[in-house]
Amino acid sequence: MSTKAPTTLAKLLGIISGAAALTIVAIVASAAGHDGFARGAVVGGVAMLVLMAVLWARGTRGGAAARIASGVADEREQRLFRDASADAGLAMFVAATGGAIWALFDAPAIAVAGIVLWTGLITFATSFAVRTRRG
Amino acid sequence: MNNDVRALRESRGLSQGALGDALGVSRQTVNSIETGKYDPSLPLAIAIARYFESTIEEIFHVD
Repeated sequence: MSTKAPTTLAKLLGIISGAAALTIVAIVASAAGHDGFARGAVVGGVAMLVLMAVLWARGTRGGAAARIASGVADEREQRLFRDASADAGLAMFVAATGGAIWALFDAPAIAVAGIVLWTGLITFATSFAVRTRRG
Repeated sequence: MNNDVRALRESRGLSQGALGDALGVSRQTVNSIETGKYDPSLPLAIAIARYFESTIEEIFHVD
């Protein structure tokens, strides 16, 4: 019913991979002349990596989020994660559709991308919190 | 779906955490099952029935 926890090495590799991906995004954004986007990506990305490290450190002693991040979530917690991800995906689809229409009126691409990303993040966090509370 | 998990657990003097450890799930999941907020998967229902030396039909009730 529960899943096998990843090793410390796997978690470390996850952090390193995340940092590497973050660096690439920041370099590409900066090279394209979007320094503000690059800074935002670094700040947001580092915040996410720190959050992941904290959740992994808490492991099974933490709540559902910590157990999911640590790979030891049981079937109910996995379902919470899956359902919240589905909600986020649907919300991002709607946001992307709205963004595409907005782009027809010369909306800046970064603004559209930001709205889609934030819609997904906020929807996921809200959905996960509500679903966890409801059981 | 109603169930007798809480009664069975309490009759054995177990905490939700202890039952969760025995079943490989979290204390919160045991609580959600007991309050009817979460219906366990078939493998977990079988594990619960085996743990209490009973059957799924005797523990879980549709109405």
